[in-house]
Amino acid sequence: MNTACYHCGLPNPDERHQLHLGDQVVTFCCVGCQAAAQTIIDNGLGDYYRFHNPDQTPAAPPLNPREAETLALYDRPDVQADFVHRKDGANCQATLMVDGVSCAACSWLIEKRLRQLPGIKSAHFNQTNHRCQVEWDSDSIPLSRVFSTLFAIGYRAHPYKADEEEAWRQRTSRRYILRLGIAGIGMMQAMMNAVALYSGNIELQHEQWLRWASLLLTIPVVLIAAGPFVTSAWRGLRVGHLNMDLSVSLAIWGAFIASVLATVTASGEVYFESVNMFTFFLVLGRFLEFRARTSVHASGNALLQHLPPTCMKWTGAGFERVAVRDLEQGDRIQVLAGELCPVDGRIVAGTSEFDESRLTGEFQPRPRTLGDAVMAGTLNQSQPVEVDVTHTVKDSSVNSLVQLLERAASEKPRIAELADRGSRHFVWSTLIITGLIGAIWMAVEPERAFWVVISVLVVTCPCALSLATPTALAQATTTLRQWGLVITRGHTLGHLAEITDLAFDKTGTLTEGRYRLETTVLTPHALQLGLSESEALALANALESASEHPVANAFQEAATSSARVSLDDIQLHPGSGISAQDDQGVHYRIGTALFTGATESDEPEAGEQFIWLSRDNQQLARFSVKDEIRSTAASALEALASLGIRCHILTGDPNPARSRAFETLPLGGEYRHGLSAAAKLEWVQQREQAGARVAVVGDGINDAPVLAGATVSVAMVSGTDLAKQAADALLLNGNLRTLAAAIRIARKNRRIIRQNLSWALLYNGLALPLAAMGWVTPWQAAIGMSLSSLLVVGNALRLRK
Amino acid sequence: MGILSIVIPVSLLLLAAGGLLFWWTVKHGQYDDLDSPAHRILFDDDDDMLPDDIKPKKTKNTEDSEPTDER
Repeated sequence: MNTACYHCGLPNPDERHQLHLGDQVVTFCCVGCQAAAQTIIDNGLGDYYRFHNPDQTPAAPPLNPREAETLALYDRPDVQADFVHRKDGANCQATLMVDGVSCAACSWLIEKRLRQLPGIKSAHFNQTNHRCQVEWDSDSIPLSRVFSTLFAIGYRAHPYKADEEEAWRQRTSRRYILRLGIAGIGMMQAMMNAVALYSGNIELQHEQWLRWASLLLTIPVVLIAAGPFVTSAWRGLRVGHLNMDLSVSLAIWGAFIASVLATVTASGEVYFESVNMFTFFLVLGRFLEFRARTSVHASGNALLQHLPPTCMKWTGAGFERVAVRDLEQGDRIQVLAGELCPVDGRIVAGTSEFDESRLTGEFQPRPRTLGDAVMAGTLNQSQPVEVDVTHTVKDSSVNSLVQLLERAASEKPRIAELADRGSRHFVWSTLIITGLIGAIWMAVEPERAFWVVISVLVVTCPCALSLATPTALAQATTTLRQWGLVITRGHTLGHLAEITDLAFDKTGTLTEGRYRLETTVLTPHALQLGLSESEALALANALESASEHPVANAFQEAATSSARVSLDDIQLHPGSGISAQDDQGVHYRIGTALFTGATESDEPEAGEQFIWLSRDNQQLARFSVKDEIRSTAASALEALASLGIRCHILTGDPNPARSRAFETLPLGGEYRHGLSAAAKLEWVQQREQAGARVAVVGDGINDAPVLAGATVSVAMVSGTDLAKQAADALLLNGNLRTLAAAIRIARKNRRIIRQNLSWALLYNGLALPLAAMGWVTPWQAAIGMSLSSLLVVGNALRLRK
Repeated sequence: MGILSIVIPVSLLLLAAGGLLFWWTVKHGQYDDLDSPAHRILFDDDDDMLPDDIKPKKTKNTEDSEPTDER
């Protein structure tokens, strides 16, 4: 039977992991989900499952003791200094970044669970940016407990400290809300006054009172809400650049000043409600666009979170824990198995395997021995080694990758403000035409000239024109976010519509980036011993549990029997496997064919790996593990092909053979293997020079430069922070079909922007002559302008589907 | 219609007060998170906050198929 995982919703074919909920049995896809659900239900938070919206991303496996030790580092004052704010005495406050949040129920769960802990004063989770603000009493609860609690319910947490861009984003957002509120209040009140004024049946004295009241309440609106338009227009003028804000501020201030004159002289018409309404709609459009564009929860973290904050340094008498930033060139440090190497260095004692996936994107560990160089950010997988520091944190390879990234980002075309560029000519012509019309009216009928000029300014006010692009962009962005694609840069949608080629990174993008057990084949010898498949798996899991190798996870997930096999003398043999013996002195080995004494008969297909289990040099079983292709890959490629997009695969995997699974993918373009980060960037640049528009989808640190250099780049949310920061868009749910939907929406968005712009130009073109002839009074002009804006906004709302 | 001479200034004063309060709420970050509160209100997890005299009735209502049986 094929049921979905109770926790994450992934299809769950074998139902190995189960929990009993009352009389109901629920199943899970992996240990991670099961453990998280167990914790959630044990703490009386089972309500979570009534509301949650599974995101098909399994929870990370439970903390192992080593990870728990690393978390204890967060209790050290020097580590806390970076992100913990001490209020008074033991009262502390910090903001944590939480990964793995899929829905509103998650935020409920996080807050609930944290508040259950003794010593937690408050916990607020922000659904928009996935940050959790915690206040606690450091005397009654250590900070590491907060982290481990979040880990136990299936979320990953990191310390958070806002960088400058993020601080700016918050300030701007608050300013927008303030402007919106003031314009909104002003608009409502001015409209009420306008109803009284337009009713006609009103004494002159009362009319004047209402006009003065409207004037007073419009002052804050034009100063605070519309002020930034003027500042922006002025800034533009100073550098000789006419922007949309110039005509916006001219219209607002023109109508305002004219209305003030009318009020003071008690003659003519007032248009305070039009001024307010116009300002409100403009600010609303800009705010929605701003909000949709900047709601990224992944970026803006100033802390380099993938480097351990401390390490073991040789002091002459022994190893001592010191802060990584205090290390100097020539220091000797110890990197334990399972630790990240904090600096670039050279191995001076020991032999181990290093997982360089953060740098190269490949999950196969590389053996490293005496004299070999190791890089910062790589993971030591088997034995402790001693390393001499050659480069300190500042100039280690992680940082040079950051530099490469910055350079690539600077080569990127600046955000093209299409509408703004087009409107520059429009603004010019409007101003000149208005001036001409004014001059003609002055000559013909001077007493009507001023109001005709105001009518012309209001009627030609590029309100619809300036809303045309941002509302469509905002709507498309919001729609895409509901699909699971977060746009992080202004130009992304525009470029997405022009895409002709799409290049995928393989590991972690088209595949899931984690190994899974495919098949288990028992040898005749094992059958003779009466060994069952699950016993073989339990043995393999017991052996592999000592290892940090990603393959070990495959066994951890696959092992069903909870009976632990007790093994002694577990030894890791880098590049070969693991050996151990049980209490009866029987030797077990797991690893490569050579290591376990097996003679290979079948060739594993590419992407697949054989792992052998032997007992006293007699083979027991052959496991094949595989990094699985995402279930949505094939249908996504088909959908993309139907949109006329060529898909390519660029991989750092040195294996030239395409696996059978990849051959069945409907790939329209090339399959390139063994590419370094620089080679990927070069390939993309060549394509771009040949006239193609390339989008890149990737996840690793090594993908970051190519992501920054491509026309449009999409990062997987499970990817590294560096990749996420370099990308123009983030794919939140691993559903590759969203990419095809995104391109469709981007194209529709482009079409709608064009329709909106043509409508706005048509309207202005038709209304201008009418207003110039003096046939349009200012109030009619204001209504026309508002209707035109509403039409544009309504058209943009069609992007919702 | 002399009332207008009082009502109009009062409305302006109220507006000013409202505007100032709004400015204060924005400054204190009450609008920083515009998404979570909308969802949070939908969670029916306030059973423990109900007064005791309402509590049993409420659970009966939700669990029993025929709540009027009691009477």
